[in-house]
Amino acid sequence: MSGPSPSSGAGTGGPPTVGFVTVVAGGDATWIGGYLVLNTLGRPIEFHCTAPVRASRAQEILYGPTLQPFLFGEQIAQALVRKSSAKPLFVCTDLDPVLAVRGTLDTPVARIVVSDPGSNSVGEDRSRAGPGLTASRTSFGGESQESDGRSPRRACAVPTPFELGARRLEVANRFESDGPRIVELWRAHANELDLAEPFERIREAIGEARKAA
Amino acid sequence: MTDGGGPERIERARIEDDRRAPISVGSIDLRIPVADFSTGWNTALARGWRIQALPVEMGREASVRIITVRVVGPAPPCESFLFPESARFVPMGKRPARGPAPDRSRPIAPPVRHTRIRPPNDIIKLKDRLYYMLQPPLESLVQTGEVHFPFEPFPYQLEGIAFLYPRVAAVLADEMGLGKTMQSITAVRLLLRSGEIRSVLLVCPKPLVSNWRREFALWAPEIPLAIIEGEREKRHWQWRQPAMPVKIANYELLMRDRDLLNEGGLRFDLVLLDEAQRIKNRSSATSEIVRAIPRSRGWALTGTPVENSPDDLVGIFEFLAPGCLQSGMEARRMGRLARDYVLRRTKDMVLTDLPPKIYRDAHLALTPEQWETYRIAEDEGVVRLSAMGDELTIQHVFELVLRLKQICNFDPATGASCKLERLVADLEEIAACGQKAIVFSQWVESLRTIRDRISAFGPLEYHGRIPSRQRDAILEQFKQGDAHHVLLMSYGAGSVGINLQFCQYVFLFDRWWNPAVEDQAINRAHRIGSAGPVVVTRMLATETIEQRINQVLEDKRELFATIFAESGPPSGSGLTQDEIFGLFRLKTPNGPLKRTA
Repeated sequence: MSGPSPSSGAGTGGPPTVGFVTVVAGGDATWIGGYLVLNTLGRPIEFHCTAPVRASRAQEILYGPTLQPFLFGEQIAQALVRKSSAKPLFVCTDLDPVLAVRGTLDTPVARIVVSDPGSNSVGEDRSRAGPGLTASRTSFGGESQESDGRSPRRACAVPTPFELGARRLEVANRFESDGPRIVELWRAHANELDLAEPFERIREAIGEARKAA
Repeated sequence: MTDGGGPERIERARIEDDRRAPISVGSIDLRIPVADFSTGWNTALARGWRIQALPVEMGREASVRIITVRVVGPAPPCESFLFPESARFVPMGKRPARGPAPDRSRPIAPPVRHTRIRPPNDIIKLKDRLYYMLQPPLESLVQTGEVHFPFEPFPYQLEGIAFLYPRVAAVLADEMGLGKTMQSITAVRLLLRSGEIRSVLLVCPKPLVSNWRREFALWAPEIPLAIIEGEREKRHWQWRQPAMPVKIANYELLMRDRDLLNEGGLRFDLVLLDEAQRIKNRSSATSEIVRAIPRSRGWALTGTPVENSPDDLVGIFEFLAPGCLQSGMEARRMGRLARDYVLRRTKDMVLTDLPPKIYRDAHLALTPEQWETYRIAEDEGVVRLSAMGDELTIQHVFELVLRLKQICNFDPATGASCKLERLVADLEEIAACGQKAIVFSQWVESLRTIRDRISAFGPLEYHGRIPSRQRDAILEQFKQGDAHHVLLMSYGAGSVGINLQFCQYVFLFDRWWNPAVEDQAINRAHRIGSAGPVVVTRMLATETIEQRINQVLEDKRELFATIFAESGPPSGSGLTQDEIFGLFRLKTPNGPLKRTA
């Protein structure tokens, strides 16, 4: 073929990009992160995924209900974003605990709010995910009560989302200024890319990578 | 033992001290209360423990042991995949893509359906598979206006495009009328615009060249294309034009430019064959030339991937993936091996909004006059053919078949016709309801006989003897005129390129050899925009050659359904030479035939 093949090298500079990061259950109490960098038309530039990650017993005990923000945000998402050579306008996630990555990055991070209740919580197989993850499964990203009976709490996001194109987003409460910044950065591209759609791609790509492993 | 210092002396001194110490006496109550338990463990566990802490003075050397638990481990290992930069589709040609620019001031509701590109099984490398999987859904191209479409494609058409896009070898075998042309043009367009391919050769039958040009202008107006035609020098110049990413040539022309194609250093990123059944015969010159064209990808378009036998598909695969299929392969195995390469949809599968197509098989007994003539013709004909011995050819048999089929339409001596009687009865009802019908026959003579005998229904004719310049006017007259309830069409003239979806009745006065041609005829009325259900009446004279032919064709449909079990049976399945011989239990020059009607 005379044109560039999929295996040829990637470019990193130039056109604006946006990053999408999510975490899926890998079975056997493990978690796999995926990070997809798209240009503003939704075409892939980079894809990174982690090996399956399992929280240690010590982490489960010591982090308690903050285990997910630690594991998803500070461990998995941070490793993925730092691995990328792209400098996205902002990073988008569909999971509330991943917002914790914002504390380790200069790039704005937002969580997309999807209409399906509970879909911003973590994927399947939570019962095998370890005590810390199990306890928090109904609290992160949702309004429901934690399973240990304590009052409802949100991990990272502020309660008032903002509109971006046809989607609603939230940012971490320590970084409220990210909201207006993202709106400004993305205004010109709001109708070019559906911000909820790329997570489907990431999940499928992780599945494909696991099959190949 | 020695009497001096040492351990012995120390021990003796300790015993002496014990003797001098006062003796104390105490008592211990041994009546400890005991309850009867089978194990006793539970009670022991329930017993209260008292722990008393006593201060201990630490010496200088004592220290507290500290255990360090590491909670933040190293960053998890990551695997990375980098893809070619493709910021925007590359601009092509001088003409801008048509259509208004998308309105960016208002939010656009995201598409509900996502049609994704799936890598085929022959793409092995994970990075290449991910490249295709991570592409945006095709709906986003439509919605954002990045690539303009004159009409919004149907979901099944987007699936067809997603099927073709990543494939190095593919057969798009959709039923006629579902838009194979549009799907292939759009896939070519996306590949060209994304820079994945740069040169395309489209090969089609000569009469379809202008149609392809029109369709490219509609669906990919920005793609420059060259029609290879004219004198040898001009053609050679056209073949080598790098500025024309799409070149269209007809099959006949390939023969003339064979040397240039096979040895002239030309190479194409994609060779696309329309009506690919043209290369089903592997030993034909056309097939050899096409197979030898240097290329990176090969796609085949055909509504009839299997016309006569499964070997037809083997012929097409010799172009696409040589060696993948073998002659004589078991049908089910062939279907399994071909599955990842072939996409076939029928209207019933994808156009669920289309009104139903209702088949009525009219099994009619010949009139006494027809039967008498038919019996004599068949008996004499078979005797004559049998007497020919080694002189017997397929042509002789074919002539007898045609003769008998004509008698099934009309008795040549008296004009009697069981089919006409039935047709007239049905037309009375149709005309009374203000409806219109199309009657198909393979013979113009039969159509003219019908015309003369159904004049009350205002019949119009559309066949090979009607000059081309008059044909459009006839169709318009049929559509608009209230007095015209019947259009008499030949299969040859009326099977392609005509839209008569206002008709709800189709009559197949006689049957064509190949069901694909019949389907094409029926699809004049049964297509997108049909006013309602289309009733198809297939006339069949019982106890005749028509019934035997029908049985052979039905058996073949069943076989082909096995091959295409995953995607529906192909509609094309004509009679082979052996099968035509077998209709009369005749022996060929090479021996007796196993297959009989």
